[in-house]
Amino acid sequence: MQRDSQTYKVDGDIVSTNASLHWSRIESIIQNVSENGILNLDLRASRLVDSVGLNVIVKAIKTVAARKARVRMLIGNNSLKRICTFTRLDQKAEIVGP
Amino acid sequence: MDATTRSQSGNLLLVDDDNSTRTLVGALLRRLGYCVEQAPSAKEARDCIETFGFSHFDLIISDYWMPGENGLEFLKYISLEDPTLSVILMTVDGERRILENLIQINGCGFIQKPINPRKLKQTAKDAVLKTKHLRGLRSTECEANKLGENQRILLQKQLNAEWADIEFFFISKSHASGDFVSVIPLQNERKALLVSDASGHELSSALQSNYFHGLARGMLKNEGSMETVFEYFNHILMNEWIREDLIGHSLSANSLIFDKENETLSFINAGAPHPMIAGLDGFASSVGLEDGFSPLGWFDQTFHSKNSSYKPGYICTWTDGLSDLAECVGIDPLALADRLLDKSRGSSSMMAKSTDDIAVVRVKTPSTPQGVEPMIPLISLDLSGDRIGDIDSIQEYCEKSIRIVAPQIDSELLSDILVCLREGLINALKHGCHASPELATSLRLSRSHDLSKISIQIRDEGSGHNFDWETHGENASENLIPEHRGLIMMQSIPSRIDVSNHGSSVLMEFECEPKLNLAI
Repeated sequence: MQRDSQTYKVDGDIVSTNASLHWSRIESIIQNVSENGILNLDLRASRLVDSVGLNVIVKAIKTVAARKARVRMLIGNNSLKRICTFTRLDQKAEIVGP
Repeated sequence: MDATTRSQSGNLLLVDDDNSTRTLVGALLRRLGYCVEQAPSAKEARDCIETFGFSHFDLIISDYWMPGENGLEFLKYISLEDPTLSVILMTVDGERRILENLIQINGCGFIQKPINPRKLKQTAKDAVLKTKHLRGLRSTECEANKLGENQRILLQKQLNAEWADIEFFFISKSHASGDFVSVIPLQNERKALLVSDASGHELSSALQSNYFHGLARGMLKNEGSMETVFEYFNHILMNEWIREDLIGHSLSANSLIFDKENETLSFINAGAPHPMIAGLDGFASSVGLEDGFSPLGWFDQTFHSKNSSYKPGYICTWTDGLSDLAECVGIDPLALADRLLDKSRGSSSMMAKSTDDIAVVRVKTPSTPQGVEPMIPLISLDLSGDRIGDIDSIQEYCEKSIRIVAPQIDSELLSDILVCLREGLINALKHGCHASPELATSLRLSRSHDLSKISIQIRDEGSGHNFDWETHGENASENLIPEHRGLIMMQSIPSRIDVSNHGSSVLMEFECEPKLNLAI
């Protein structure tokens, strides 16, 4: 059975200076994620995600987990993929790409 | 006619297919003292010019309507081949309005047919004067260009002769430059590096700057001190070069005297950008104080001087044209200096944005051992602790500074560098300086010669704190706590990280394939 999924397409980097904006957008999408559903965070347009940006992702993972759903991250570059590995986010969310 | 014959009033070429007009107008012009050649068509006029040469003629008077090539096409040919040679087109009244616009575009005169002798006299006189004026300017321009070219050759030869591995870039936005650099060998294995920038962009600016260097060379050879040179030249400018009826020249200059035996550096600055000095790690700092000092020729004031020690590494110094251009394009002056000193790449597109002459010198300090290649400084930024809100623009500044030196840099490597640099800076500003304007953070970035390594040093004036990477890292990842993720990235991404002074000093190195990022 196909899982219900919602997608947030990030339009650039997620960094300390725009993290709140991204969180408010993600938060509103999470409201529509159903139990056992998936939140797709499409980060393919992101070249750089700093620690505050990662915190947004962490918050999304936690909030989605509370709804008994999960996060899938679509990643477009190896640098960001390495960061997800170093910070073990790859163990908390599904990583797709690059 | 003999090609060398010249009339006192001027030599003219009269072009008209109508024989009677040629005869009548030719006679009028001869009576006015002109030597007149005649041609019945544009083609024969071209032959005539080929025979005598453009420089023989002071004016061409041509009919507009002629069989074959008309007067306007002939005018275009003249404008292209010799823009200094004046042309007057003769027209009948009905054509005047059409020609007015076209003629004005080409800076050409015109005269109506039938010819009014008085009008012809004045128009021809003005046109001949214009030709002579433009040729005078062209001659001066050629001389100035020669002078500028000689200046460039002399600078390069002089510097190479005195300091074998000196790197030098010089470009003038005008014919001759007020920017000048010289190396003066002194007794006891000492060397002086002297950089000056005279105000203005005229020949007199170049003369003044050269005079200063000649004076310095002479005084230093006779055991005068550099302080005396600066004081004396200030006196000259204040009392001899500046008159009430003239706007005088000032001169910005700095000098660095290297004493190899004692490894000391004597620095003097009068209104010039401060040189940057770096050790083997390429982390550069200003040699002098950041406060400005007036150029020579402004006041009876002293200049800034400082004595310090130096270590193996680089000194990089430049004139204010480089500082201005770096600010204009939003990059660090050190990165721009590195870019301009890269002889394998052209600088014309970069220089198109410059409004001033630029001279840049980079040299290894005399104590640098032979064969040692110190890291090259690219960024030196000192930030007050309350600049956290500017983190995006600081990141952009750093990215542009790296890209200008390594335009082909691997995008993922650049992302790694930028994210760690950002995290390091946020950490230093937020936690080290507590966002206080009273505390400061420094950022230094350097590259290896083959671009296989980029090093970053971030230091803050805070007291730091002990941090157990492993415990906190594991906690942050396993329990998804928001803290410390930046530090974990900084620890994991670079090829090497060295944290000291309880975390208030961080060194990160990023390595890649040698030359991988060099522009081809």
